[in-house]
Amino acid sequence: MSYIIRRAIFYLIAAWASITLNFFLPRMMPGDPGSVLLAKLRGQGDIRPETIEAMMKAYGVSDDPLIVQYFGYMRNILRGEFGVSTSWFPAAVSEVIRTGLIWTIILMGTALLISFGIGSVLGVIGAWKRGSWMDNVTPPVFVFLGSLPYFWIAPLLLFAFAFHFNWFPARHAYNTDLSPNFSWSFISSVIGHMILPVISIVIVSIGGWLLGMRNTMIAILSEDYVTMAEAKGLGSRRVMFGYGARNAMLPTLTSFGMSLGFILSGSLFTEMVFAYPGLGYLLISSVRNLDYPLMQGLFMMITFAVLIANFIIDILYVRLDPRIREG
Amino acid sequence: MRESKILSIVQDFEQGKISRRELGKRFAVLGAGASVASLAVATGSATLGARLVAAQSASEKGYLTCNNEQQATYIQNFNPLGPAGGSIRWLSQFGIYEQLFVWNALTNTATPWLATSWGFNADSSVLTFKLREGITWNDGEAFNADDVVYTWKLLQSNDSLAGNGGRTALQNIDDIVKVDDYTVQFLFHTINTTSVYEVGGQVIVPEHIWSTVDDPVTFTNETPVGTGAWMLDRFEAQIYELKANENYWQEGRPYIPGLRMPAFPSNDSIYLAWLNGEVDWGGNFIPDIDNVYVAKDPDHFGYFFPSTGAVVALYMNHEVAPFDDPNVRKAVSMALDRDQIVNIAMYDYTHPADTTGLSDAFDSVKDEEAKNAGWTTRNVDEANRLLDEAGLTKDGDWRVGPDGNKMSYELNVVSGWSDWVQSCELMAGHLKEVGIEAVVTPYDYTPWFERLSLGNFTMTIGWGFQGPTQLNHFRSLMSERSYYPIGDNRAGENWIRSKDADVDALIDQAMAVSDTEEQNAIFAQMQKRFAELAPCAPLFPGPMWGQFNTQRFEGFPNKDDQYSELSPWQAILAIILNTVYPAGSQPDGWAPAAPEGEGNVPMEADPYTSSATPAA
Repeated sequence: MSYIIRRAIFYLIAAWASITLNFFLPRMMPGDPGSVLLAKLRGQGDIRPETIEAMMKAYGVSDDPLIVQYFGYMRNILRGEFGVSTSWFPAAVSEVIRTGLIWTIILMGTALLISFGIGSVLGVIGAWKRGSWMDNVTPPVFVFLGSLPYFWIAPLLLFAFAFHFNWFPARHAYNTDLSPNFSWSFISSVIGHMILPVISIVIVSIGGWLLGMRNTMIAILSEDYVTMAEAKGLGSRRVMFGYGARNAMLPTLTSFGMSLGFILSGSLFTEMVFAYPGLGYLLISSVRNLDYPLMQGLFMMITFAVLIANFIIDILYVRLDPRIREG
Repeated sequence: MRESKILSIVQDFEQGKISRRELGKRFAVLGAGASVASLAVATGSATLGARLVAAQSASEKGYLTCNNEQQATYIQNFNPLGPAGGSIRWLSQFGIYEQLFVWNALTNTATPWLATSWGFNADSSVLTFKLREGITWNDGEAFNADDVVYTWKLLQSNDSLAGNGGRTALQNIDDIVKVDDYTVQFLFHTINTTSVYEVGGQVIVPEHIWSTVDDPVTFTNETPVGTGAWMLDRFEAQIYELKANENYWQEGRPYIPGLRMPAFPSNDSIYLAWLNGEVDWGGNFIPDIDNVYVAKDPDHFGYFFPSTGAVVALYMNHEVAPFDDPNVRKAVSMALDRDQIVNIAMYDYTHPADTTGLSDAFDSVKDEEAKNAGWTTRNVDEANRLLDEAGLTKDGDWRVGPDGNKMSYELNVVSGWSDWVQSCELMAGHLKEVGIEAVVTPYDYTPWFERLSLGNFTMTIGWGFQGPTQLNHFRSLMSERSYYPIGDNRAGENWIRSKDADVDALIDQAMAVSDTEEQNAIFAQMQKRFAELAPCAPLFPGPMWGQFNTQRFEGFPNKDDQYSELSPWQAILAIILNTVYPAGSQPDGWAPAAPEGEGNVPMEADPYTSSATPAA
């Protein structure tokens, strides 16, 4: 229990540190929102200073000293308010994020689960049957696929299967003639629109999971307790999963936790290529427009997701690794 | 490192400023290989038929698919007056909300719209608009002078509402007065007859709705009530649809049942949709369009790129010697090979600019003498002679500047705007031939613009300034009115810090007359001044992008029927969308939308209101 409390305190400090960084980092970027505004207003004739002032006020851009802004910001964070997005004015940051959040979670979550699941199982089996044809073929193939640049493979998939053969839809999260509801036609449309982007992500990410799992598994399999289990005459499946995979899982689980958190950062390229709504596009456009509130809202969400996912993994560790429970 | 590079390429591409060819090249450099469109070009149109079936079933309601926003997702905001830089859905302006008249740059005419006629009084201090009777808002309320006055008062009392142009005119306007239900007068404290275009162009919102709104700046207006042909049908994060207003005041129009606007986050995704025949109308930069797009279905796919956009130019800072000397600027201009620039950087979509610096939109009013001053034609010998004469003699390959150093300057450009970057690289080569070193220096958009407005640059490529009249052009490039000293970032237009007393005197005259002929005669004088002083080196008029697909809809402006430009981002969209009809069912007596009205005529200011006019 004390382990979990220690971890909780650590995560609280990490959360505070990231909230603070999240405030100061964007403000250290070159340019200021005022000149962005001026640049946007080009060609609208003479811009009087009072117009700029009024707009800055409407956008919530403040000239207060940084430290005053910082405390105002902390207060808002605690209330869960991120203010108004300047590039999507007058929409609130939370409203802007909502347009892409669900799709990012569905798409990236599915892709992560699939590539983690398949990759790990293949890794376990490959390590168990070292030297078999499967162990000889799968790692090189998936590592090769994983080293292909995503921005090349994704348009290729899109071109081949959505454009040339016309088997899958080329864009969007669901058929634009439908409206979101819980009917089968809508859900099947969502799944149909997800296949191509998910495959593109899985193809390039599966190799990493496979290799990580296989390598730790091989190290674990040479441990004495595995030999012991085999000597006791336990079934090969029990040894493979109960003794080998359970222990080999631990490092992989940590990276799974990280990836789980980073789901929320979306995938810019997937969204661009497949015209899929999501947070990756918002992230990049907020940076480009120096939209501090939106940037902060997104970064904050990602940070918390990573922290929370890691905290959960830490708790899972306790369950999986008895050594921690006792230590 | 590589990822960030890719990211920046994708960004550039997304902004429509980097060409497909350039994209391919850059990706090739990164070891990436072919991209979607080049693959698409490589394959035949074997599967076109299958795709068309798919595309047709995608628009069951018979809606026209179009887009002018690059977004991954939409936010429901139809506030047409919202502050600049915010995110307002396309078609809020001109589609749902309408203007008093629609300016058509291609035909150089103002089409009466919510107003039937308008004009200044004799001393140009009062501008009167007569409104059309019988127009209703799409909730059934009648449209009248109260709405016009209310809209303007709203702009007047809310500094952060941008409106669309109205804010500029407000600087000269004292008051807006309702004379009767269908007559509105604008009382000017500063005479400026060109304000008529800004007043006529401002979209009008209904008083009965907006007067109940707490804060018009943050109002998102989710169910817009406008006078326009379009009403909200459906709104979702990845698509929104507008349906035709059945009680639209232009009887019989629009001819099509509705519009659908799917979200396209990148040029990539919209290119595929174009090739698939899924989009009916839009304005995208497509490189080598004849082969990439039109060849896929020559019977239905087409484009129309009139060179009526503002002129892109090479700008030199007049407060940096030796570019304070008109002859040096002319020499720089004469060193440039515009034919090559237009051919390589612009795919021959446009043509070299002339010595008025004005686009084709003003062809009919260009002064013969001014436009043939010759310094936009390549002439290396003459350029060298002028530079020698200015005392910038050669020392080896390079000339020596007034400060005794080699003439070597940064040539600023926005990073990733590939047509500009390519133009700059070509220009650097041309300038080398006359002994001037131009070092092409890309900046991100915001820092680039910041340098320009602060005057912190020597040479840069940049856009031109255009409007319904030539005023913006001269006001931005030759006038004290837009001049701010170096270091003052308010110089949003006159980056080059150029002013000319003659031009300012002429601008005074032009703003005081309301007769178009008379005004154009004054502008011709300014053109001559421009040709004399060469404030910048105009390169080429910007093409106005526009593509159409006539598989499902016909009646778009095109090379054979040039009733307007085809670009979707301007007020003329009101004309285009009220003119197109479903393919094969042309309405009887079909003609481009042109509501009746007298247009611009001299108007007597009503004695009652003119007596209320404060002395200017």
